[in-house]
This record gives sequence, structure tokens and C-alpha cells, in this order.
Amino acid sequence: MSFSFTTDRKKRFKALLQSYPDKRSVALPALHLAQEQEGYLTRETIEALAHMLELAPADLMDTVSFYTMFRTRPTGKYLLQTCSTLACSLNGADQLTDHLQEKLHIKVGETTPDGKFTLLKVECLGSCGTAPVLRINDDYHEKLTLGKVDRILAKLK
Amino acid sequence: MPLIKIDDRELEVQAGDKLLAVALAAGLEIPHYCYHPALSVTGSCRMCLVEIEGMPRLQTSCSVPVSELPPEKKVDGKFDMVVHTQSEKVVAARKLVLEFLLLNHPLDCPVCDQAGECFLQDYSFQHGNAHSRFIEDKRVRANEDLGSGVVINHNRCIMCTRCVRFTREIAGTGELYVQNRGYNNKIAVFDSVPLDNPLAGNVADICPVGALLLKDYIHTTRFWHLSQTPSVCTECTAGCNITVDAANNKIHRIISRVNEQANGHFICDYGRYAHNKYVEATITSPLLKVEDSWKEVSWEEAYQVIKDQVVATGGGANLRALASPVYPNETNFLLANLVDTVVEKKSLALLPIQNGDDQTFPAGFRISGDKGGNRRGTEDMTRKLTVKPQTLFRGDVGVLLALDGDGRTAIDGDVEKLLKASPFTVILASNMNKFTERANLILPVAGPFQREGTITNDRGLVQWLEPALQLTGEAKPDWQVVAELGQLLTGQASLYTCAGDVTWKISQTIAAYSRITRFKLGKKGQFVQGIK
Amino acid sequence: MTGYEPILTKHLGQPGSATLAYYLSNEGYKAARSAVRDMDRSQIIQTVKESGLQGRGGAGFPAGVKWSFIPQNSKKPKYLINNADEGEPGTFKDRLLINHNPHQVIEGMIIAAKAIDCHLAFIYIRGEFVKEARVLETALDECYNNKILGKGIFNSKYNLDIIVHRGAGAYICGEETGLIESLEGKRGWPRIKPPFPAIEGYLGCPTVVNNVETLANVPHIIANGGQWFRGIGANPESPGPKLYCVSGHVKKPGVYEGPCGTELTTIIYDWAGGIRDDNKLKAVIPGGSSSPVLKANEIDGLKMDFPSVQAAGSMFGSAGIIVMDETTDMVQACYNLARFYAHESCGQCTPCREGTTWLIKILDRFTKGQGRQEDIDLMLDVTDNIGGLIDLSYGSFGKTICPFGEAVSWPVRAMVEKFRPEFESYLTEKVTG
Repeated sequence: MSFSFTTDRKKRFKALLQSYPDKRSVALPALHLAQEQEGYLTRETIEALAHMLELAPADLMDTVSFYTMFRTRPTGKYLLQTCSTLACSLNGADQLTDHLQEKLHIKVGETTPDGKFTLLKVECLGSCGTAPVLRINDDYHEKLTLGKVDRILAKLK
Repeated sequence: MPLIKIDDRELEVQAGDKLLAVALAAGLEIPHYCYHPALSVTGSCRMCLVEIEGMPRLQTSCSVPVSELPPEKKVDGKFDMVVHTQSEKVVAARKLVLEFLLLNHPLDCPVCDQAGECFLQDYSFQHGNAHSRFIEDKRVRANEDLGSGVVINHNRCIMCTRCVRFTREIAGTGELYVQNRGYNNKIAVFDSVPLDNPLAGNVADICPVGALLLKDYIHTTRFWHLSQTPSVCTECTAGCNITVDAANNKIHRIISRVNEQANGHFICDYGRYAHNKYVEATITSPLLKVEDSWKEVSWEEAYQVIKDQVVATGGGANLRALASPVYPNETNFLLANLVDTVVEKKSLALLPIQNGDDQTFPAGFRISGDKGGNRRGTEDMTRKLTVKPQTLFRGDVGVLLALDGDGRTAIDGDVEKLLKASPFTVILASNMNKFTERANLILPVAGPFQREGTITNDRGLVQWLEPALQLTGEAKPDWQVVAELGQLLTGQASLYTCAGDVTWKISQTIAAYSRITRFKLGKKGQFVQGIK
Repeated sequence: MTGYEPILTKHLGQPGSATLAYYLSNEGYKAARSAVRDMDRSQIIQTVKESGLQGRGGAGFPAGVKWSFIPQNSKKPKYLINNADEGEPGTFKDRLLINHNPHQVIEGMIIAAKAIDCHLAFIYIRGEFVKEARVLETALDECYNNKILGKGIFNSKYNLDIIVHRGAGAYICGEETGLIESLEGKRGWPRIKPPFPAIEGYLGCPTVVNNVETLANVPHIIANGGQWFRGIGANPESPGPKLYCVSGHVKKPGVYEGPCGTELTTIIYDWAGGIRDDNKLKAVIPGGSSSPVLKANEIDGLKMDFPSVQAAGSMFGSAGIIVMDETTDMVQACYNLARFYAHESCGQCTPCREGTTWLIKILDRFTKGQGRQEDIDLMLDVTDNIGGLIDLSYGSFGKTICPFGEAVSWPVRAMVEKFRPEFESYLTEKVTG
């Protein structure tokens, strides 16, 4: 499966190339753009992007593999990320994670068999004042209680 | 120029030069891993830490530039920098870095090919601890084949990233990368896209530990069994410096030898693996073709045959000769002399050698498309006499004396016609190939890695070709056989007792080589005159 | 705090506070307009130098001095990068500034850009802040549509573009050279210094990296003068308004604005409502997770500014205050932080790559009841070997390229040293029980 940007994203990619002073600097935005389109980054996507940015695929993969947000494997429709660092941990993040594991019958790192949820434990999300925090796809859910989490999950179709 | 003091040594150095580089150039040892003179500086291994007076923190000597201080700020009134490489702080810091590097190391020196030439081993012995405080499980990863004959043992890797920087900065191909982050960092190739460039083998040379290994060298010998011969590659006209590692008259590997005037720090894989091409079909005795098959004859018989054939084909005046760019200057010089003495008109041409395309790499490394390694020297030695090959098959063609092309001979139309026109072809060679097959008589001479003498690269650098292997069977040094043929055909006694004698004669004869002698060349060579 | 009017968060919570219209109707962009039209480079830098504004990202380097390092005569382009890679555990102030008042930050950027002769600036925002990146992009669009950005801004001859650049999940990209590498599309491996970014930064060009909060202060300094700013707070050597982030075991966690030099007890008890369930205070991390922990008895009368917190043996850092009450298991807290740092170590330098994971392997054993007496000293030794002893006078031993080595070593060391009996009891209780 070869990769190409959709028409709209192709336009955005071209605009990126024009606004940055060099091609390589576009790597992170381009990877975000591709991941947003495809859900995760396949070998073909990375090769295609490397070609567009005039990089060796390995060189781009070096970048991809460094950052936790770039995924090279598919995830569920909803990517649940519980923050596990100190402030959240002091405010019940571990219980929150345990609760999600029990409720979804999966362990951290796994995806529900129906492909709906993937559960990850991540490090500091930068929202310590509203701990504990759960990031679902791009959205933060803050000051959570177990009841609140249940209600949020119930709304996710 | 700044004056610095490193421990007890005072050095005058160029402002802007990095401390580690100047120390190494002065022959001072500062332990280091990630630093490599041909690669960008990362300062990440933390091994080269030194104490610099006036700076509270230890500094990575690889990254600290030397600069000139204003007179009032000079240390002890004269130094621009005072450096301690053995202070208590430095010694302690080194110990700690080594402890960290060895936490996850398998300590498998007894089965590691790097043992004996391993910087982890050496530095641990010199600067490390005898015991580890690490009782946790070690990080264990399987070996991986990276391609181009290179294998990685991840467990021995210290993440110096020399190899990654090499593929990016020198080869320009960038197949290697650092995967993941932190403790999970490892050297990788992209999704099984292998290491694939003609310089790939260098990553094993520059790996300071036993992580990157050449497949064809793994477990073949131990480092301390090898005899290391500093020599020059003759596979193309670039004249890269190599070290030939052999044991029991067998080459185990060829590695790069540093020469800023020639190849810099690296060699190509064609040269690195060249020895594998020449192991088969070695000729160990003079061979006479009798009814389409080869018959071993003695040197006396062989010389008698040549003498008879010369007489039978109209004498020395009809002699034809082919000099060869794969042979040293001495051999070609003697062949040219022979022709000059015996034949009145110009009767010598250069053996055509197969050509490829030149390859150049981002940092300047080059592989010449001209595979006649001593092309320039051969031309210099034969300049007065050479003609185009097509003139050689005109008129009465007598005995053809040819030097072989080590399997790289381009048997083109002209050579074909010459071979057909020649009533009797004598080829000096070391290995059987398509060209030697065409001979009537083969004289066994030194082959690649056995030859001795000077060769001149395409930039005019004359270097000494040091033989790494002994001759086998009845084979003789190539220069000596040509000298003997000269004696045979001219009746004049040969004055040469070694290749160096011929080199001296060249210096007396050819102006551009007037300063070249065996001993002046050293290990780095010397440019012919007229070139800076 | 009596008599203190919020400056940076004045408009917080007002409807439409993120819009250009709201901002303009509240004196917005006046300072930038005058900086661009009426002030030259040196005037701006002088004013900011006079103000004594110290970097709010954690290191506290004087902002005006940083700007003055940009070579005047260099023909290379100069770059300004707004560091919005907020990721230091305990810190969540920049996100607030961006969400509620993005134009204040952008205005600060315009002034800083003018001061260093920069025509292309970046906001490097952590990748997880998707919503915040959108807020910024919307605000930038408003600026472009109103000649506040682009060509000839404020009808002057000065051009400036600003790009929002999202990170992708790496704490180390908050370190300025790691950030620059990341902006260049590479892994965020910090660079060895010198050269410093002011000389060779983004794409080898002179570059200034400033924190969001630092830049948010700049319009107010230009509007009110350096002396005005220096007068805010208890200590003129470390002045200005400050956003204090309070998290952990307090009744009302959140961001509170007050002058530099506010007492830590005031922040915790008066503003953040005190300890949850009226428990006893056990420990406080005063300046983000990289700052050494303080015991309850060490915070009395402690003023929150760079020199005062340093004198108390910790760091003001990003003013990310993490409060821990008596129920806190300090071994677990230590393990939690060590795990964070091991996860975020970039892996470039030997001591940090190997040492951080060694630490968590030891701590993991500890929490499983498999600790040994000698492990406590071993942990202290390992932290020393990664980042040196806690020595605020001149930083570390220089054991790693970037300050991450200290950032992991010092807090872990402080926890083990200050709560050693807890580590020991953990050991014996778990092992025998």
C-alpha cells in the first residue's frame, strides 16, 4: 500500500514546505499530518514522507522512533492515555488505570477485541493541577473520578 | 598560536582546534569512544572528560576548542589552557563512565572477535573497576544482520553512534539510525532495508568495541595471531592505505589505514574484500601450453623456450610487450628498459583494464572507476616507449611479453588482434584468468598482496607496496622475472638485488621520481615532483 | 496577597479573553506597536535587562541578557523560539496562558523578535496540547488578518511570521538545544555547548529560546518600564509576577499568580486551601519535579524566588509546586519520579542512559521487598554518577551534555537522603513481613 496525502492535506503539506526555511524541519508536522490521516505510520508512509523530505527512510525513522506520540502500529478507535506521573499518581491515577483495565478487560498496552479502545499509561501530560488526567485521542479529561470516567466512556460510541 | 599544557606536555596548537584532537596528534592518550576525527563531534560517551584549570566542571575534551587568552589572563603567565587528564576527578569520572558502559555488557571477551583490539577491554583494564555493583538483569538482544556483510551484536554496543554518523556523513546513504529512546536506544536499519553501500565495511573498522562485525571475519582467528602489514590497495587508482591482516600466509581481513594524503580514514568494500578474489587458481610453477593443456616446466626450461621462440620469430627486433597498470613501477620500468634495449622502434603498449564509473561520496571519499591501480606510475615508467595497442600488431610480430591484469584485463579488439598476431605469448601472472588462458607460456610471479615496489596513485602520490603474503611454489617476484628476462634477451647482467634497487634506478632515470626512494616513502608516501 | 493585582492572568476567565477583539480592547498590542514602530533593538533589550526578568522555564537566566547575545552583525537569519513544550511534572502554567490569553504571548514574541532582528519565529508546543495549538493558530490567523503579523506589521517596515510547531511526546525537547534539534526534524538529542544557540541555533543560525511565561511578561515590561517590573516582589534581584502551579495533596490545586518572593506557605495554605483532608504536610517539591524535595519543616518562611529557594537547597525552577501529605509513600514517590526520568532520558549520554534505568531497577526491587541495605547508598552513588552531588553553586560535575543528568539525580538523591528512614523501614518491613 503506497501512501499519499489526501488533496486537502497535500495542500497543507505544500504550505508547510513553503513556510519553513528548510525541508527537514517539516518532518514533525508532516508526520503528524500523515498520522492524522492514516491513524498510524506504516513503513510505506514513512518511506513516502522520507522521499518527499529528501531524507533516507532510516533517518526519518530515527525521528519517528524517538517520540512517543508517533505510532507505528494501529490503535483502537479511542486511544486512552492515563497520566501516571507524580501529581496524578498522588491523586489516584493508579486506581484510575486499574479501573480501566478491569472495565475494559485489557491490560495497559492492549486493545479491546472490538478495536474500540486502546489503553496506555503515559508520563506527565502537563495538567497536574487537574489530576488525575486521562487523554482520549486529542482531548484531555481532567479531575477525574471513577464515576466520571464511566460516564465518559459510556458516551463513546 | 595558543600554548597549552596537557599534564606535563607543553604544546603550541592552532586556535580553534579541539583539545582531544590536538592531544591525539601529539601522541597523548585521552580515552574516548564517540569521537572520531573524520566524524562530527557529539560528546556523548563522556569518556574523554578532562579537568581544565579555571573551569569548575569536567569538560569533554573532544568538544572544547583551544583559544588564545589575553596576556593578563594567561595561566602561570604563559598558558592559554592547562589541562589535567590524570587528576583525581578525571580518574574517578572515567571509572564511573566505564561502570555504566559495562552494566549491560555481556563480558564475553573470550568469544569476541574484538578482543585484543577492543577499547572497552583496554580502557576497562586501564581505568575501570574489577567488580560490578550491578545485580539486576542485563538488557539482552539478539544479533542482527545489517547487510553488506556486517552483523551487529547489540549487547556489546555502547551507543557511540560512530556507525550512524558514518553512513550519514561519509557514505551519505544513511542506512543506519538510532532507534527508540533512552535505555531502549539501539542501532538499526529501516525495516529490513539493509546497509547497502560500497563503504559499508568501514562501520566495523570504526566500531570501538565488538558490536559491529564483518561476517567473513567472525570467529576465523584471534587478533593476536595476525601479522599486520601496512600496505596499499591496488584495486583502483585512488591508492587507499590498508592494513593487511594475515596468519599462516592467508589473509583474514583487510582494514583501513589512515593516510590523510590518500584515502583519509576509510576504504571501500571492493578493496576490503579484494583478497577473496585471488585465492583460487594460484599459479605455482611456469606453465607451458602443450596441445591445449598446461604442462609444468622448470624456470630453466621456460627461459630456454622463450629464447628459442625469440630466435624463431625474427629475433628481439620483433618483440612486443604489454606493461600492466596493476604491477608496481619497478616491474613496468624494467619491462620498458628491456624493450628499449632490445627493440629499435616503439613496441610497448599498456594492457587495457576494465573501467567502471568513478564514485564519490559526500565527505570526499572516492573510488576511481579506473581499476588499473598503478595507471599513473605505469605511464610514468613507460612514457618514452608507449604506443597505442593497434600499432603493435602491424608488421612482423614476434614474441609478446605481457604482464597480467589480475583478471581485470579488457580483452578488446586490439588485444584480441595482438594475441592472434603473436606467434608466442608469454604472460607474467599469478592467477589463471581469461587473459592468461591465451598465453603460450605463463611465468609465475608475485600476485596481489605479494608484490613489492612503488605505485603511484592518480594524484601523484608514490607509496610503497608492502607484501603481506609470501610467494608460493616456484613463483618469483615480478620485478625479478622481468630483470631475468632482460638478462636473457640482452645478455647484460642484472644489477638489482631487491625491488628497492630498482626504485633507486628509477629515481636516477625519471626526473619526477628523483626524490623517491624506498626509505623516504615511509608509510604515508611522497608526491612525485611537480606536485606539491 | 493584599495589594497585588494579577498581571499575567488579569483577564483569565473573562468571556472571549482569547480573542483579538478582547485583547485589543484591553490595551493589547500597544506595547508591541511601540516596540516595532518606535524602539530600536538596543532600547528593547535595555528595558528588559533593567526589568530583571528571569527565564520562567526553570533556569532563570536573565532574558534581556540572552537577547543581547545575538550577534548584531551576523548576516544569517535570526530565530526566536517560544518554548511551549511544557512537560516538567508539576508545571501547567503555560497551557493556561495559551488557552486564556494567547495574544499576550504573541505580543511578547513580537517584541522579542524585534529585539533580536528576527523575522521568522516558532512556537514549539508539546504535541499533546492539540487544543492549545489550535488556540494559538486561531490567534495567529487573527493577527495576520489585522496586520499584526506578516509583512509590514503595524504599518512599519518590519516583517514577522510565526509558526506553531507541535512536538510529538518527548520531555527532553523542553531543553533548548533538544528543542532546536526537534524543530529541525530530528530526534531531540541535546547539543553539546558551546556553541550556544545565540551563536549557532536553529539551522546553525543565531537563535533565542524563551519560555511562554517569560514572553508573556514582556509586553507589560515594555508598557510599564523596567523599573516598574523590578519593583514587583520581595527581591529586586528576582522580581516580577509569577505563576505558581500547585498540585498534589492540596484542597484547591491550580495556577495562582502572585509576585516573585511570595512565601510558599502562603501559596499552599492561603491560596491553594491547605492540605487535603487537613492532613499533615510531609514534603514539597517547590520548582517542578527536577527540584530537590523539601521536608515540611524546611518550608517555613521560604520565599519563592530564584535566590531564596536556592538558599534552601532546592530550585525555584518552573514554580511547579507538588505537595505531599503524611500519607505519601516516599519510596513510591521516588520510584515514580525516577521512572518518569528513565522514560524521558534521551539516551545520548552514557551516564543518563544507563544510570536512570539502573535506578529504577533498584527501586523496582525495593518496592517488591527485595531491597538490600546497601542499595540505599548505591542509589545515592548512582545519582551522583549521573548528575553529581546537589551543588547549586556551579551546577553539576558536567557528567552529561544537558542538565537532565542533574534533573534526575538531585530530586532522587534528596528523596533518598531526606527520607532515608522511610526507605530503610520499607526495606525491613517488606522483607521480614
